[in-house]
Amino acid sequence: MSNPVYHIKDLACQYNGNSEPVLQIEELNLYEGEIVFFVGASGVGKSTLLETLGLMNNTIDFQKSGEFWFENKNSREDLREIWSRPEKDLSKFRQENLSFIFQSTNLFPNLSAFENVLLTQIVEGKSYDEAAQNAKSMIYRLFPNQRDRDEIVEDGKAIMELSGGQRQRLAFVRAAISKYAILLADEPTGNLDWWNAKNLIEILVDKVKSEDGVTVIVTHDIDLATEYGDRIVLIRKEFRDPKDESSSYGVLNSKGIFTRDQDNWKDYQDTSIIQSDLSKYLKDQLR
Amino acid sequence: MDFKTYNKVFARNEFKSVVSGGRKFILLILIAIVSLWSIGFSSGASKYLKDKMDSPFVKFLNVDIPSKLAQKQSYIDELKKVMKQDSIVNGYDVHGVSFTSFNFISFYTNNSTSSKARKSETAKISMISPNDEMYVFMKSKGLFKNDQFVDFSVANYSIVVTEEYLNRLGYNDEYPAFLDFRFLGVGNEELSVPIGIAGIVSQLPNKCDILCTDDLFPHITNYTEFNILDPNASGHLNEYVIYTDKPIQGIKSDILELDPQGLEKQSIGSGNSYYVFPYDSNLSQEELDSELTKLLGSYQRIYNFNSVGQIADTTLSGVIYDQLIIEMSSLEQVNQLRKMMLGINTRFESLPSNHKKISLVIDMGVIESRNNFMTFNSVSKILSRVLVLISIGFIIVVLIQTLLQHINKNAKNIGTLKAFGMSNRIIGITYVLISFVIIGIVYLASVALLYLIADISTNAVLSLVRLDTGGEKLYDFTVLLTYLPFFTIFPLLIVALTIWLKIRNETPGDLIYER
Repeated sequence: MSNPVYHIKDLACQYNGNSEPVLQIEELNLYEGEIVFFVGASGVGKSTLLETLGLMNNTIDFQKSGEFWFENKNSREDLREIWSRPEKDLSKFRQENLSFIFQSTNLFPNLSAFENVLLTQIVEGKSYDEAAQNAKSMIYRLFPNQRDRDEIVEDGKAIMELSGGQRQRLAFVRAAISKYAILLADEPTGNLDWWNAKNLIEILVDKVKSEDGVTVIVTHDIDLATEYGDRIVLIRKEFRDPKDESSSYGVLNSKGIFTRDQDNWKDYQDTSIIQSDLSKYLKDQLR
Repeated sequence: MDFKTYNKVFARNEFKSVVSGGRKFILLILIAIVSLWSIGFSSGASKYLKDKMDSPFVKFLNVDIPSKLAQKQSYIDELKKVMKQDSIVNGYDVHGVSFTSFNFISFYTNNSTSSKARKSETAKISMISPNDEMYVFMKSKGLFKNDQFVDFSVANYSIVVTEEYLNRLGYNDEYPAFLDFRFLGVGNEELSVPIGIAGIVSQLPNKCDILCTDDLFPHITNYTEFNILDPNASGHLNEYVIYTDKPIQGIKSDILELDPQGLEKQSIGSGNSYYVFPYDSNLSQEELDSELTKLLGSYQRIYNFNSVGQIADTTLSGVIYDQLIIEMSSLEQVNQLRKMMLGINTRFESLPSNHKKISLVIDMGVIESRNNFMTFNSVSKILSRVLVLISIGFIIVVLIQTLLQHINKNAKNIGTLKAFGMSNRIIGITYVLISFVIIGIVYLASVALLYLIADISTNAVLSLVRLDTGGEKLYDFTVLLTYLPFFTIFPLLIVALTIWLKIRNETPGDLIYER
């Protein structure tokens, strides 16, 4: 396996003012060209994990945290320190390495559908023509219906006029056409029917394999994760005080990491698990 | 970043979103109009006042001499003596006195101005002696605007005229060499005589349009058989005067080349684009006219005055001085002088008792107007500055409130942009530029509307407070440019600081998940 793009070890994540971490990551490596699905029960810290990996919030507890590295061909960054650097450095890092698909799409209602998908490329500094060309080619893959495509590309359809599924596909286009090392997706197929979800993930798989990016997907869709994931990471809920429900926190350790092994899966002890059993196990964990 | 694309896709839409439902921006424009109007009005009033204050004649006081007294030369002589007494000169800060007379007559645009329609305007004309203190004062202060100013002592049959009067005649950007004066001469013959312009000034005292010498004054206000302007009268000037707008050197050389019998070509004198030269009286009038017309035909006007010397004394004896002009060293004693002048006739023992009771009243109009304007100016300056501060404050409050509301409402979007790597600097610049465009639109719209209504509204206010500027436009547009930085830079700095403080510590996560 190649060098990890992200290397995390003994990372404690918390929000300002909270003395106790809400997520404890013992060790996590994310590698080029893989799709990693994160699953876990509600409130277990999946969003916290995305905020941490996406540098959306400084959730790292420096007192209790170990290592958080980003590495690619050109550089190696200690991401524990990046928050103390000038804001422009942080923005540059995000712009060059990160992309997002948000659960609620976060499309801009005052821009047309097509203008929305151009935004990430505008941030990257691309010209209108180049950005539009890239956007169109991705839209054509995700919107097989000619009329839908025309309404978005030619007619300047407003965001409010789109269905939830169409918005989710647009949010995917916006994120996927930008240049990134890590794509972080929060329930990217939540509003899609099976066919569209499958189409979207397959496009993503193609892109990941051809461009060596890392895709991190937080999902509740275990079938999708077991079908398309290279790895599945289960974040478990634990309690500091077993009698106190509010003392829960998420734990991400090697015991929750499952790796694809051809048609089957392996757990941290290299034990082979067939896909249906893993699927059943994970669904039980999410209940 | 490709700012053209950024503007096309994001900034322009963001601007539309910020200004949508723009009632508050209409209010901004109204507030800006009120404050800009007050600035322009205050500045205009201030300039107008400054002109008044700067009037070189502000220290010259006019006293009308009632006609019963004006007709008595002995009274005028005695008044002259009294006004020069040390007790008056030192006690009331009187610098000097002179006597004048005024009348209303019409002049016409001259014949040489072929492009202009012939036009006449009534002028208030006042008489002055070349030795008069006010005339000396005018020369010493360099008040004459035309390059070819000629002293009255040389050109005693010419006039000094105000620019404003020339404007009324249609001379907006030119100084003519002469004006035409028309009258009925001997035998009721309608005559048109060119009167040379010796000097051009911005203004004359006592709202006069024209000054002329005491040589000319009686001839244009009182036509007698001795009128020197009438070629048929017995007192016609013994000189030829050529009036022309052509350059001096050309005319001089033309005239020197002439050799008509009897012309004394060596003694040609030059005036303000006109030339006076004596001729041999033995030459017949017809011969001389014929010769000159033949040789000087290209010049617009040739006129012959005869025998002025023979009748000058006779004519001048008829002048009536109906106005006393007092030049003050300072205006501090002006109220005491006014009181003294009311009873000054009691000092003249030779006057009959009923004439001693006649008061001489100093016209305090200019001084009172000046005081009124000073008060008005101070009040309007304070008011306009207060309004400017309120206006700028209002612009800042409305802009900040609108932008913060927009940012709060669109926090998720801004967080998304930051997550994708847009820096605080670009986001801040975007909203500052949006503010700049809004302020620019508000300012330009206000100025454009003011352009339409400023003069009307200014006149309405002036008539409310019963101030007369004599038709002069009071509103000053030029000052609006100087206030542009206050209306733009100051609000923009505050807006930029506020936005910076708002977004600088906000993380994408805080904005997206609204923590």
